[in-house]
Amino acid sequence: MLFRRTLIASALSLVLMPPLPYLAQAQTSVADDTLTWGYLARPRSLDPNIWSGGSDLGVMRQIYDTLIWSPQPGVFEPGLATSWEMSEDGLVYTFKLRDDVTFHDGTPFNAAAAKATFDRIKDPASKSLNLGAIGPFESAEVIDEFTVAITLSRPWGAFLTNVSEPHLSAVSPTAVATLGDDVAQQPVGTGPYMFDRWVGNDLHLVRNPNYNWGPSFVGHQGPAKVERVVVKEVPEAATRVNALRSQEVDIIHFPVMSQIQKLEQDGFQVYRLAQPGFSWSFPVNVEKAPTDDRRVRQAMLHAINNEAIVRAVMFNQVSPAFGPLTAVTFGYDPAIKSAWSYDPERAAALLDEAGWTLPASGAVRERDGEPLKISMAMFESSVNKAVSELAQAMLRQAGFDAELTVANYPAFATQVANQDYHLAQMRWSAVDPDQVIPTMFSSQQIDGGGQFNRTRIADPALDDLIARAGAATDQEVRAKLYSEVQFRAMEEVWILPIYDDVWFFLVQPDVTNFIVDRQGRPLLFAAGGAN
Amino acid sequence: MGRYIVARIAAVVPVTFGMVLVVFVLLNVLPVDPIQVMITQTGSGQAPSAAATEETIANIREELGLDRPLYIQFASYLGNALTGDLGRSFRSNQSVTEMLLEQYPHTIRLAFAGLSVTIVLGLTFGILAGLLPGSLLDRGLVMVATLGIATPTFWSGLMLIFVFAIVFPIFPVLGVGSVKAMILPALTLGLPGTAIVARLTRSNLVAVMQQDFMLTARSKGLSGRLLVARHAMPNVLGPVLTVIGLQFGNLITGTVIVETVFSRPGIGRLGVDAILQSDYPLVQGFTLALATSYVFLNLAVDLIHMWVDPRVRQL
Repeated sequence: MLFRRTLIASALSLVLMPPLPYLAQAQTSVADDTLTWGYLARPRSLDPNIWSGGSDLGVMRQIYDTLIWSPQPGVFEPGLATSWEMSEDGLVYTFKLRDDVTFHDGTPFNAAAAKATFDRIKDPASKSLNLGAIGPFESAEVIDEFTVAITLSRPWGAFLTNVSEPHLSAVSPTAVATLGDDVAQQPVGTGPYMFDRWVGNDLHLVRNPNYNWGPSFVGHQGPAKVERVVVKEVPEAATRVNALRSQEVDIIHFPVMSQIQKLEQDGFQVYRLAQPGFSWSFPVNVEKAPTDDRRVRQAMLHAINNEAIVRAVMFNQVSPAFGPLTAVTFGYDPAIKSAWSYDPERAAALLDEAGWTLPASGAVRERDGEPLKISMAMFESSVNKAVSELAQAMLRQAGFDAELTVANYPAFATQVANQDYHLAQMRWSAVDPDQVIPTMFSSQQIDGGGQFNRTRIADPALDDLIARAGAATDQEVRAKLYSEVQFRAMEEVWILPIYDDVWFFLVQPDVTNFIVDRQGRPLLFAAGGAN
Repeated sequence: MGRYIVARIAAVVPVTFGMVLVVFVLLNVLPVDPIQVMITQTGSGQAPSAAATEETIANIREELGLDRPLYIQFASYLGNALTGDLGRSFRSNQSVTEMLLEQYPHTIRLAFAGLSVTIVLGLTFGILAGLLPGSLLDRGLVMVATLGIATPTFWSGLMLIFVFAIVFPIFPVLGVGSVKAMILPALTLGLPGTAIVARLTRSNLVAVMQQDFMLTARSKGLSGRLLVARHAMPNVLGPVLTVIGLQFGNLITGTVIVETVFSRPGIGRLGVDAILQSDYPLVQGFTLALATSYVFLNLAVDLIHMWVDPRVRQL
C-alpha cells in the first residue's frame, strides 16, 4: 500500500510540474524549412557594439549587417553602404548609404543610424568592450540623409576592415533607446534573420521578408532561403556530434577532433576554416630570468616539436604555426617558415652556451647550482591542456624543470597580471594584423588593459615599427612592415608558435551553399536544402 | 507537529545566511579579478576581439561597486536579495533572479524524473532481491547495483546516447522537447541512486523478514503479498526514505552533468558556468537557490518520514 502510495505520489509530482515551453521535438532537416545549429553555449549577448563576442559574433552575423563586407584581405564590397571614399590625408571616410533599408522594427536605416553606431561605442556610458574596433575614431557627421562622414584623429590602415566586422553592425537606434540593455537579448538589426524568441537556452530566428541587401559574394540575393534558424545550445562536443548523426541538428561547430575524419567519410560536409589572426602560441616572458636570456628562449623554440603536437592532439586537422600571424592573415610572410626549425641538438647546444649544463646525474639542467626552472600558465579550454602537457614534456626532455598550472581563465589572467609565469598562452582571431600585433607586442599593453603583451617586450624601435604599420594606408607598405615584425618576433623568440587555429563546421549532407565570412562565421541566409 | 514545521522552516534563515556569507567570502579571497571575466571571452577560450582600455576597466569597476569595502558590498547584496534582486550577471548583464527563475523549473523537472527512476527501479529491484536472497536474481541484481554505483554519470550518459539514440535510434540525443526525450536523462540521473536504494532495500528486507513479528504474521496465515506490503515494508521504508532524501542532494548536483551531456537547460549548468567564469552575482544566486531547495527538500523528506513511520512522530 505504502509502496504504491509512494509511487503514485512521485508520479503525481511529475505530472503536476508546471508545463514548460519546450519546442516540439522533431527530426530537423532543411526540408522542414528550419536550419538548426548545435551551438557551444547560449549566446551571452547579441549586442555587437557592446559585447566582445567571440563565437557569438557568428550568431550576430545572421541578425545584423555592416556598412561594407570584406570577402578577401584588402578587398571590400558594398553592404549597407553603396560606396565610400577616403580623404587624401587618410582622416575622413565618407560613406554613401543605401536608401531602401529598414531595421526589423521598422526604423529606417540612414546616416543618423550609421553615426549612432560609432557614437554608441565611443560613449563611456555604454561601457563598450569594442573601443579597439573604432580605433582613432574622432567624430561622425551626417552629411545628408544617406551620407555619413567618419573622421579619425590619425590615419588608420585597418579602418575599413574594422567597418566590415560585426562589431560595427548597425543596431536599431529605436531599440537601443526603448530596450536599453535588453537589446542584447532581443536584438534588432537589419539582417536576413529577425529575433523571434528564446526557448530555454535556444535562440529562434525567423526570416526577414524584406531583406534585399545581402553581400554579392554569397551567391544569393533577396530574403533568406530557409525560413527559420534555431541556435540550439549543445554544450558537450560529443553530444553535438551525436545530434548531428541522429539528424537532430543541421550544423555543428567545435566537434570532437578525433571524429572529424570519420564523419567526413560518412558523408557529412566538413568545413575547415583557417582563422586569420594570432596563432596559438606560448608568449615568452622576456623580463623574467631565465627566459630573459635570448639563448634560453631559442633553445625552447628548438625543443618544441609543434608538428608532433598537431599530430597527437589535433589529429593533423590543423597546421603547425611558424610565427605570430596565421597563414591566412593579411601581411603573413611565408618566408617565416624557414626562419627556424625543430632541432633538439641545437637546443642543447644553446643551453650549454648559456651556461645551463646537464649535471652528471639528473635530467634538469643547472647553472651555478641553480636548476633551469620555468613555469607555464595555462587556462582550461578545448585543447589547451593537452597541448601544454606535450610542450611541457618536450621542454623537460631538453633539460627544463617545467611546471604547468592549468586554471580557469580568470585565475590564469590574474597569474599573468602578477607576472608569475615564463610561458603564457595567446590566440586571437582577427581579420587584420592591426587588431593583434599592437596588442601583443606594444609596450603600452604590458600593464593595465587586458595585459595582452604577455611577452612583456618593451622596445621603442618596435613600438615605432608597429605604429608605422598601423598608420600606413598603402596595403603593400603595410604588408612589408608586418613582415618585419614577424621576423623580429622569431629572431628574438618572443613567442613559441604552435598551430594556426582552424574552426570546424560540420554540416548535414543535404544542406547546400554553406557560406562563411572571412573569420568563418556562417552567412546562413544563403544556405538551403537540396530540394 | 505544527510547531516542529514552523521551527524547521525558521531554520532556513540562518542556514541560508551562512551559505551566502561563506560563498561571498570564498569568492572574494579567490585570486581572480572579475573585471578580467567581463573583458574576455572564456566560454570558447577566445581572446577578446578588441582590447578594453584601462579607463573602461576603471569605469566598470566603479559602476559595479567593486571599489567599495567588502562589508559594504556584502550588506548591499543582502539588502537587495531580501527584495528579490540578486544583482546582474557580470557576463551577460541579465538579472540573476530572472536567469535563475528561467532555468530552475527545468532542473526540478529533471531531478523529479531522476528521483522517480531511483524510487521505482530501486524499490522494485531491492524487493525482488530481498525476497529471494542468495538466488541467481539476487546475486545478479547486487552485481548490477554495484556497477551502477561505480559508473560515472558522464560516461553512462554518453553510453546511453550511443546505444539508444545512435545504434538503436529509439530516443533523441538532445534531452528536451518531449516525455520521450526525458527518458535517457532521467535514467542517467537516477541510476546511481537506484543502485543505492536497491541495495539498502534488499538488506533491510532480508533483515526484517527474519524478525519475530514476521514469523507471527506468517503463522496467522497471511499471504505473501500482504505480508510484505503490510508488515515488512513499513519497517524497510524508513531508512530507505532517509537515503532517498539524501539522494535528492546528489540528484541536484548530478543534473549539472546530465544537463551538459543531454543539452538540457537548467540551473546546474548555469551555476557551473558561472563558477568557471567567476561571475560572482550568478554564483551567489545559484548557491542561494540550491541551499534553500536543499533545506526545503530535507524538510519534506522528514515530514514524509513522519507520516510513514509512526515511531518518528513521537519525537
